[in-house]
Amino acid sequence: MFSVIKHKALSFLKKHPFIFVLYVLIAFLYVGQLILRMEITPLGYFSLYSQPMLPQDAYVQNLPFDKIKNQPIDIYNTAGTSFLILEILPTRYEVLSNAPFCNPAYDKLKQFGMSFNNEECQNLKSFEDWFYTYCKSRNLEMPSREDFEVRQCYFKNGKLLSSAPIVK
Amino acid sequence: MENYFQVRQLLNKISTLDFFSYKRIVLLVLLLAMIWFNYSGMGLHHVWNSPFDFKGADFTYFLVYKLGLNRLVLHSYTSAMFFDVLLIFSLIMALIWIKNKFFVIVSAVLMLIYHILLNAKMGYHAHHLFGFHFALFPFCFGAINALPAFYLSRYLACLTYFFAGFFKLYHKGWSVIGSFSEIFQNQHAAYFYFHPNSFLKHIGHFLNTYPAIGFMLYLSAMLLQLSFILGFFTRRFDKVLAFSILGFHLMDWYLMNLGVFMGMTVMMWLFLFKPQRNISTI
Repeated sequence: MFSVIKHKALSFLKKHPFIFVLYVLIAFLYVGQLILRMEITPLGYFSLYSQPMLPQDAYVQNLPFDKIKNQPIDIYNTAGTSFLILEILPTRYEVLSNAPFCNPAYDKLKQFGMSFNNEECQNLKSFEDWFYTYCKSRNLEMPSREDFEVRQCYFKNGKLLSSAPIVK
Repeated sequence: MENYFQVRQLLNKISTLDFFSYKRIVLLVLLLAMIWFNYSGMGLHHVWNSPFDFKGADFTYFLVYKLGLNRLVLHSYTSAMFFDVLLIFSLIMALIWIKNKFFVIVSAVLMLIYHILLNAKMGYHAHHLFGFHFALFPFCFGAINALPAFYLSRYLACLTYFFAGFFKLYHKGWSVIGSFSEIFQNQHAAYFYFHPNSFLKHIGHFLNTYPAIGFMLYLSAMLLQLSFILGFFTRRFDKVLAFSILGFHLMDWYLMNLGVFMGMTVMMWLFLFKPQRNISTI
């Protein structure tokens, strides 16, 4: 069995040396990332929805919020699939804000000798201003900047139960 | 019965398409997807000044940041816009000069940079459009290397889908009957609020009433993904795997509102192309 694989690998190396190197590089990359417990993309991608989910009292979603109307802004009335990025950005804002040095991969990256400063956290402070402009560019019906906030909204059965500023 | 034969006929026709016909289809899908992303506010010129500058624990980020590509492409609105236009232009050129590899290679490299920088600016580590890279990869090579590159892409697609199922199995997403119905409520919580009479809301209500149906859907998706392990050992089930990809992403679109991933169905070509008949035409 082993000699058959070895023979096939050697003949493949002779015929297609460049692709052989690519095969080996990709294999090393995947195995290396697995051993070092790095993010193994794209293998890890579909781990989405892999955890069991138990019934919740409320379902949380971070959304742009109109303080005057006291309700979230409908991100689903936008061009194309803009709503996806409008869902992701405020969610990641919360995740990054609450991570050490504003990077959830901080521990792993530190192991690989990457240095961090507070610059990324400083930048995050301007998120709401930037997100306000982004929402406007997506033609959302927006209040004035003063009446705009990104909030955690709690839903159940299609009803808004409550909302609160994002905890950092 | 007549329908069955018509479908069989159509499948046979698809599987006898040559390399360049698939190349046209893949490039066209990628071109339409990039136009759609730009229309949807997912171009780099839309997010170039986002305060996020996320670096994942992944080799691709190290490479891009070490090379300073982030500073170059995201230097200003104009540079980001130029990059987006260049990517679309390279795909158009690759479509026009279908027998030429140069523009395909340019498109593939630009596509990779686009995804890494988009992730960095969204603060989100997800190579969620990896299918585009896998589908494009074999076209970057000439007659000698195109076939092994095609198989490499095919293996990577199998590996990815198999692990998708494996993680579902390993993390025991299947162990709670009502889990999918809860995931569904969580995914669409805000959507239900804004669109209380939508089709999705009715599905949500149905899955809440009959969580076992949601469980069956989840289980079938997991098994569908696990079945990609067959692709490593035989090509006998390739047509089934190809239409599993289509089925999976259609469900992802309809049920999870993740239509943006529909473009990944372009990977179907890796399971429909029959190289033994057509490789001589490359």
